[in-house]
Amino acid sequence: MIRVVLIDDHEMVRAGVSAFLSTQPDIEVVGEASDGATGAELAIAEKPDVVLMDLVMEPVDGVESTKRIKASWKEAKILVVTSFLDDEKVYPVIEAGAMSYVL
Amino acid sequence: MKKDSYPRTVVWHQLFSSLLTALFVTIAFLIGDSTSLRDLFTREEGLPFGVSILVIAVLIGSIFGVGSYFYLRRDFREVAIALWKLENQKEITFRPLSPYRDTLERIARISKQRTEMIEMAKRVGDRPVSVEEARSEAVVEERRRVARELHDSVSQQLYAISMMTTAAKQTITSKPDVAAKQIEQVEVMAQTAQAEMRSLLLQLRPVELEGMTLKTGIERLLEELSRKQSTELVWRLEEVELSRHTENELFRIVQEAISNTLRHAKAKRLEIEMRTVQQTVILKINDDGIGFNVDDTQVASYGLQSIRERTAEVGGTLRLVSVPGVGTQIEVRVKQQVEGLE
Repeated sequence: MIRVVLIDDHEMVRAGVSAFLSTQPDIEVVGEASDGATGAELAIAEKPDVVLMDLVMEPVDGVESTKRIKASWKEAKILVVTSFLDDEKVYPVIEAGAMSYVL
Repeated sequence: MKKDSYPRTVVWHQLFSSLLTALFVTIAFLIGDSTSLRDLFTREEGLPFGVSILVIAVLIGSIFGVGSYFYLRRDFREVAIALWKLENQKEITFRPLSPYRDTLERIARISKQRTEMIEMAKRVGDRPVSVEEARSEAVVEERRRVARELHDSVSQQLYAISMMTTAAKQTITSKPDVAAKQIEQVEVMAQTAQAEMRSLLLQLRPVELEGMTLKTGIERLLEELSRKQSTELVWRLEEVELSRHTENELFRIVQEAISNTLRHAKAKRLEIEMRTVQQTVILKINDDGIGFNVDDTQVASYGLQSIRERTAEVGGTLRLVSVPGVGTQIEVRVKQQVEGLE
């Protein structure tokens, strides 16, 4: 089972992604958060196999959240989900320790 | 750096006060011991008593005077150096324990203010001068904003819809009840996207009243919106006499306010009122929606900012009251132009 934590401030996006992931037999969504701060706490507590991270969030964004997770849990695998509009924000988050990103 | 030395008079002050003390001591002796003045200054051996007191007073006075001169000069120089730095636009630093800390902090503040003013002046200087440039910059900014808003609303909902539909496609045979719920969610998502799209389109409409009076313009807008969405719209409008420019701006304010309400307020009812009282046009827009905290800067959205700016532009006053859970009231007041000035 691949355990996933979802961090995204759009409730509908969380619902959609979560529903989509639940249809995959080997994926389990173990937690969801609507901002970077609670998301980081959740990820550190749950230690999932993958963290799906949104970039633009208030008040703590995806870059900061990634830093927080990496600071206390170095092995975290963080995957950034973003659209082309956030292009210029991708480098900082990769620098912060995200593994890869999905457009 | 041109040095401004600490006033040497401090040495003389110290000396003078020591002498004064010596004089008082002498007088005290005179009164206390009933020794005559003459006795004090005449003695067989060595220096007379009175003379010794004076000499000691001068000595102590000089030592203290010179000492405090050097001691106080250090603090004074710090102020002088700070002023020199202020003059030469250098960064101002000082010991936190300096007795002149208040003054030094004030100098540092002046320096900071000046830096800010210089930066502001530079920004103003960088601004496009021609109307053409200003316009094209405004267009670019507007496009950026619309892109951002679309990205933040409709685009996210479409993404969610696509995800949810893929999920429903997978579950429809194995778990039809789950699929049914997911399709219901897709419906809600699509409705939300539609509502947001509509209000964004409302913002993108041409601003001009195009020959209509403000009253007719607002009425047309509200009639059209009444057909298209579920919030109940109620209006009481009077014809008003304002300049063309002011009417256009007020029309835009109404559009922004309605767009804000439809997108964020979740209101059941929206009331718009416009009338003239004592040469002042009063425009009120009330809703019974979720409201927001007026002081919260995050909520100070583009729409509100635009309403503020437009009100200021026509010389009007804006009153914004919002109570979370109760609703929001926007009131714009504009004085009519005095006859003949227009």
